[in-house]
Amino acid sequence: MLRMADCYRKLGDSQAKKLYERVLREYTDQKQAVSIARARLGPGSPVKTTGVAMRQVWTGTGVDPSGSPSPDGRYLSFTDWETGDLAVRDLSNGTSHRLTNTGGWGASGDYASKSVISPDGRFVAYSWFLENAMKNELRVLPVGDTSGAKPRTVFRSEGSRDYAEPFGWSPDGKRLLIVRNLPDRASQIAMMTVATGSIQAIKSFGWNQPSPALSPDGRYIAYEAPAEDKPEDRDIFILAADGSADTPAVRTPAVDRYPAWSPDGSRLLFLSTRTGTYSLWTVPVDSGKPAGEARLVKGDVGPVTLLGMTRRGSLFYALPGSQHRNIYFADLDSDGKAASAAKLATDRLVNSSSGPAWSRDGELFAWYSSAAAGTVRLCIRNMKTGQEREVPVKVPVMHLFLAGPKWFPDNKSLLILAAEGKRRLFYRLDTSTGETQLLHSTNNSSLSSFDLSPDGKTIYYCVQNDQISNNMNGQVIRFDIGSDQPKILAQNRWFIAVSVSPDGSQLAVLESADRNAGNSERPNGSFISVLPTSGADSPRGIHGRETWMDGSRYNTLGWSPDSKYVLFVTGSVAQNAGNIIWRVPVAGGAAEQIGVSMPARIKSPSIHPDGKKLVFATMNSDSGEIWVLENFEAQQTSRL
Amino acid sequence: MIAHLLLAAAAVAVPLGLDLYVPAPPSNPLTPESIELGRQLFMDRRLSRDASISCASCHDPARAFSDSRAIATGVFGRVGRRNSPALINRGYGRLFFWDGRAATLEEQVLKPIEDPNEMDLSLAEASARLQLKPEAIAHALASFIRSLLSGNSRFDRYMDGNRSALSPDELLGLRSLPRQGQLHCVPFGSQLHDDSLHNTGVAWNGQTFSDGGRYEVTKRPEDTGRFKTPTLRDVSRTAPYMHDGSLATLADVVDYYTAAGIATAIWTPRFAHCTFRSGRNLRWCRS
Repeated sequence: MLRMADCYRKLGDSQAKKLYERVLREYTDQKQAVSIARARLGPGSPVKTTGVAMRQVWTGTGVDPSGSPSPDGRYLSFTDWETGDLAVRDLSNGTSHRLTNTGGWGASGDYASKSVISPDGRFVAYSWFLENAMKNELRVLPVGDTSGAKPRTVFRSEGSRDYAEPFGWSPDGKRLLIVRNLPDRASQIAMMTVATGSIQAIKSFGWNQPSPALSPDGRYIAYEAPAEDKPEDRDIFILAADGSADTPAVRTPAVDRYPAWSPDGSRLLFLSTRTGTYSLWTVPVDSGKPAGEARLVKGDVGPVTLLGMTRRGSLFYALPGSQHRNIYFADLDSDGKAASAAKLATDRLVNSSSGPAWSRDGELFAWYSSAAAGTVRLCIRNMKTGQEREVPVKVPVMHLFLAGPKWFPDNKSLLILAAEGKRRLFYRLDTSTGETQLLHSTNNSSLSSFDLSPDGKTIYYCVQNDQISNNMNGQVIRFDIGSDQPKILAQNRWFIAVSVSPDGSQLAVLESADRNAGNSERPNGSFISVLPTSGADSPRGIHGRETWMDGSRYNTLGWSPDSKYVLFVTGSVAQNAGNIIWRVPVAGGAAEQIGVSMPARIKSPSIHPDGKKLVFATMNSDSGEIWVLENFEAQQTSRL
Repeated sequence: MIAHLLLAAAAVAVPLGLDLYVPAPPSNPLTPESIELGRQLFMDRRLSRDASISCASCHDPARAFSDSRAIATGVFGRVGRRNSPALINRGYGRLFFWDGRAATLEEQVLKPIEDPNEMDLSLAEASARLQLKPEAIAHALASFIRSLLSGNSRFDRYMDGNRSALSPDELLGLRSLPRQGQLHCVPFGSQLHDDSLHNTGVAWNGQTFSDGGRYEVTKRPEDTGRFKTPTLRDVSRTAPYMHDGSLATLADVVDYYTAAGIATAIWTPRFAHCTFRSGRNLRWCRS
């Protein structure tokens, strides 16, 4: 069909366009053909499907799903994660410009997050995090002004965990629809008066992201909430802005999310998994109530985020990039520094492997692969023969922050973490049979890291206890296998990760300090401490402060085989920004790089027992995409 | 600060700090007429067997619709088992009674009428006395309770952006609650409670639980000693405190939690680490 289209194209026949569009529409699995057809049609060319048209308006580095389109569809607000600035993409010419100027992450940890453009297109309301003050603000700034106009602060939080995010403007531009998140993790749908910052709560929830959308006439708020009987599903409701009613609009045994209003307020568009894949649906509404059955608009669009609707009915949505996870080896010299460039550790299960772990004798190497969502495969390689095999696992493995299994000293069994609801369970898994034995369980779902002592007798883990108001009440816990009760080794801090030294005597702990929580002796940042595994002493800081915005802290600790150095990772919050592996002497002294850096997040750094080889995992993502769906109303009209 | 019975055309007037949306079932929409009928029934002693008490006898409007006695006293001087809870803002609730045994206000309001230790009147007799069907009695009383809204406190004004609404001491108390208190039952949401059930050791007498709490509803051992968190709104008016009225003053309550209560076998582990800054918390509670 592509060749036929090319023939028509050479003849200048308009039939070519129709054929290219058919390729895009009917042969989505043939990526090369689709790519050529798209190129022939030209950038931004509409892809017509059954009554609707779709076009990609932005892809590549910098795509971010936290903003909204301007009413005329020309601009899209977003956060520039290279610097943390609020920015606007001009979709008419493909350029972006920043509306704020943080000076970059090196100069400031401030950043913008959720943003929404006003109905007249002149202003943008956005959330702004102030790193030094550890507070959140809601600000308003002119959209078109790049001359450094000062933003107007409408709201300033009490602390770092109290914040207001804008989701819409009233038609007259005088009020903002916001979600206010309170320190106790309550969420409120509320209206905020722009002139005064006064907030009127309309409905409160437990911790929730209701993704509310204000109807064009400002009378109704559509939002999503967990289904009462099955919280993993979500339903859509319509709340009267005056608080007089709250009505279910979409209730199915599926995930129904991201309501968006049609320009005339007669329909809601939303994302739904009711057919088994993520699809766009619409339901007619009248006077704040559903007025008919929901209809499919476009099937199989992927796990998109709906960003908003223009006044002409163009729906903007963001498609996330796919994630790649790989494991790398790097040779080390006698000083423990990199002697070679990192190379892929395994050719199998590329882009889905993580959580590497050396056996205690160094002859085996285990890792997890999660090629399909929700499935985790346990793989083992014999380092001498290169033979690889998979071990069947009968329990629901939890791939916690991409952490892998831990070897017992017999080199035949592994400690694995599993999850059943909020329960976290530690099993000993026999690698020859796949049989498991439950060793310990905890109902604390905030468990963030774990490790096994070299003698295989003790499990160490940390929990964050962050369900309440902050993370500062975490604990480092020691559980002696076979005992009744775990023992608390350290507490009342925000613990991120733990790692046991190869000699079993010390525990490295990565923690964060929150200036706002009264830790005046520890300014805001990340710290590494060591403490005796016996619990005989309190943690002793050996390194800090790393940047607060390090996005790669979980599962980033390791040790040198001689137990003299702790390995750690630094990086940026940006998704694909480079990470660097460092080491810091336990006895005291400056941290130094070991010569390994990757253009990705680094996890699970681990040195072979012989000290000659480093293994680690990386994680990065493809660029996301911004798409526009048009003419959905025409399709609905024709069908009705 | 109670701002009740201020009626708007479509609903009650909602004071600052509360959700504008006051839930009501479709079968019992909130109307001025149903609220007024409920108010009259709330004061009506005919709803008790000996016509000696009304709902208001144990839910005093001057005390945020709670009771100054530790344990509720019913007809013929019969003493119940638990403290009469405050009724303010219960329209937002999802669980009713200390043990959460009622899921709706309509269900809840009829129980005390029938309870032998409270009003001890069958619904049939109540219906005959008032010439109203039990459902109509339930709807009216539930509507009245939905109209009992308390907000616009200095705390609410502070949360609305008036940073001078609280004194420095009160502010320290406010900040120390979630930071040092670490209690999931002391939140800052509109209602100042989590509408959930917790075992904080109040019913533990050192050897056993004097009141099974939620266990008496579910018969699940893990529910033993669990009671619903009461609201902190108007808390200075609702003494004595706890499900059994065992703590007479706010200072007693803060002292209780400062000492982390009494260790129980199935206690929320997080609770064991709670500490309060007594004076500060006390001042905030009174704001």
